[in-house]
Amino acid sequence: MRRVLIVDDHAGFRRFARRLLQAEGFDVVGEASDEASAVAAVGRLRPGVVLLDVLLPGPDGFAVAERLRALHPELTIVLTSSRTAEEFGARLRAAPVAGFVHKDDLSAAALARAVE
Amino acid sequence: MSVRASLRWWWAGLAVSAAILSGLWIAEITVDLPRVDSLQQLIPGTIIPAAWMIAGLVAWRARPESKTGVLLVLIGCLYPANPLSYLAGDHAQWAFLMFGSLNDVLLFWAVLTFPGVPLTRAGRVAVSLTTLAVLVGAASTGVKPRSDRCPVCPANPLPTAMDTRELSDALWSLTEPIMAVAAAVTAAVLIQRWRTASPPARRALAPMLWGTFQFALVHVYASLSGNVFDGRPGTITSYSFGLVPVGFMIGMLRTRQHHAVVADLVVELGSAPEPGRLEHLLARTLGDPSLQVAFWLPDRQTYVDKDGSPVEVDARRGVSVLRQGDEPLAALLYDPALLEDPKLLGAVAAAARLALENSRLQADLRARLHEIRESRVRLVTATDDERRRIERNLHDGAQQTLLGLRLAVRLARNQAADPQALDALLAEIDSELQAAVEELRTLARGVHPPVLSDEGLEPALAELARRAAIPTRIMCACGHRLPPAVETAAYYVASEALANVLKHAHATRAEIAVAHTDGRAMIEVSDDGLGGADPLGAGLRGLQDRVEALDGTLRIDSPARSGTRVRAEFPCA
Repeated sequence: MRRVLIVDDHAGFRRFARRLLQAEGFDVVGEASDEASAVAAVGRLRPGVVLLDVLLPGPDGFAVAERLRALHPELTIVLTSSRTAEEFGARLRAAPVAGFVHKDDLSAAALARAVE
Repeated sequence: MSVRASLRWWWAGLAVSAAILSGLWIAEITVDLPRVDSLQQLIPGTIIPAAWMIAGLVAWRARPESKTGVLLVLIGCLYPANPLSYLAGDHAQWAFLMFGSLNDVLLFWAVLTFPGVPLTRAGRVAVSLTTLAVLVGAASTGVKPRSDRCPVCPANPLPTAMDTRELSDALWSLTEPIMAVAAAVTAAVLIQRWRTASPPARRALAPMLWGTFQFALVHVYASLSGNVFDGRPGTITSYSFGLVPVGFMIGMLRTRQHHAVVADLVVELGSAPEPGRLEHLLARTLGDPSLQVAFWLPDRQTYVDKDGSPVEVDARRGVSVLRQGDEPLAALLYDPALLEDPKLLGAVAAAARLALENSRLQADLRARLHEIRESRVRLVTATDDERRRIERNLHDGAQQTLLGLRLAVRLARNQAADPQALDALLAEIDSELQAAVEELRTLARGVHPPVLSDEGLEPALAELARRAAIPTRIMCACGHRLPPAVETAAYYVASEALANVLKHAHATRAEIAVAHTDGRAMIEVSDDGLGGADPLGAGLRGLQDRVEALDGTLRIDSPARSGTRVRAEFPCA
């Protein structure tokens, strides 16, 4: 459960998120920037958790979550965004994900809570 | 003819006829007239020519371009030649007996050309026949020793060597059949005219025809009963003759009256009627139910009717093309009988042209309003899109960088124990922050370049050119600042056009020219690329709206493989 894939289109954010999560005990196995690279990375790296940004170029985080879930039902997906959970409302509640972490609050502890 | 000149003719005519009539009247009542039957015969002799002269003058004034008035006045002037010839002695009286019936020629002529139409070929035949009859009659009288037809007439003053009574009678017997043929031809011409006349033309023709018809009837009756009309006043024929000009006058006034309906038409057309209503109003005014308005479609180069179906402009119908400048607006197709009244036709056509021009202006205005509404919607949409774009840029760019930096700061806190790692991380944070600042600066410049408002168009364009990926030359020929709205619009024309050049044109260089002359500011962006730009694409459309919002014009010239030229012009005092 400690193997994490980060999916975000912003390289600067990915870089620091990876180092923070690693420093706090997660094993970040890879990064992806959109749906296609995310699907490929999950197939190849077999992470336990995907930290998935909502606002991606092309299909958004909700669509990518559906797709990954269909391909890998055992996968735990946690959505993240610089917007708040309230802004996504019903879409977030209906999404096949374990939880949501605001980017402001991102830390290993917050991710662990979301996964549980 | 101007109104003043026509008034002068009117007064001159009135004075001449008054002089003739009063001279005649004075002569009648003061001179001893041994050969005249009675004074009672002479008084109608002044009234009848007066009727002709007055009718002639009224007709002349109503329609100065028509010969009818002149002919009526001439008939009136010639008429008193009969009683005058009694006063002037044997020679004059004999001359009148010979040529007094020249009045018949004038009468036929007046009838055939009423109310101012040219003589047709048949009409010319009738007038020629009448002239022939008059000349034959004159010859008959000329060779006659003494007129039998006129008991009070003098002996022929011309020297006659032999008894030519038989020759004279033979000649005289020719005149009546000739006159009968002339009358028949005239009747045929008039019947034909009546059949083809439009209702208003008939309204004018009718009184003249009645007047002439009653005279013809009385004349025929008198001839059959042996009481030949020789112009002497006091007979029933002469009274009948005196009624003829009344018919002419009423007819002439009626043609004037239906000119007055044009005024009503102008008022009704003032409300810019629908095409169908316009056609109805014109048809009613001209009294021609067959009238059709054919509208010209400049883009299809063809005429269509009020329902939009193509119309063939047939030269056999009367056609008036209404123009605006060189371009036809519409054509009126009508009964050719209306050509007899060119003045009415001209007035109606002028009124119709005004109405059509009005309708066209209104349609133009509606189209412009529609265009403005659409462009307003596009401008609002473009503004919304622009806001979304800025929000997206802020979200995707600087905000993500800053969020990443928060994570970095949290990480730094964890690494406080390792100064070396902390140092490296802080350097990384610093460079990320610098990138974020630069990103925000670029974004702000995209919203509105500060150099544009601070220093003006030329430095802003120079900055634009400096950042462009291909060599871009600036040619700025205005040494002063333009109004801020114009500067901003011109800058966006340059920046959008240049962005298009970089994205689509595959150009090796570009040029931006600015000029300000004669109250117009101009900016032109040209390149040496592929050309073929789509003026209806969203980017260029947005530019067009922006330029037109300032009453400017945007022209895109982009032939395939010959580069693109985007040129905007703004009114700018």
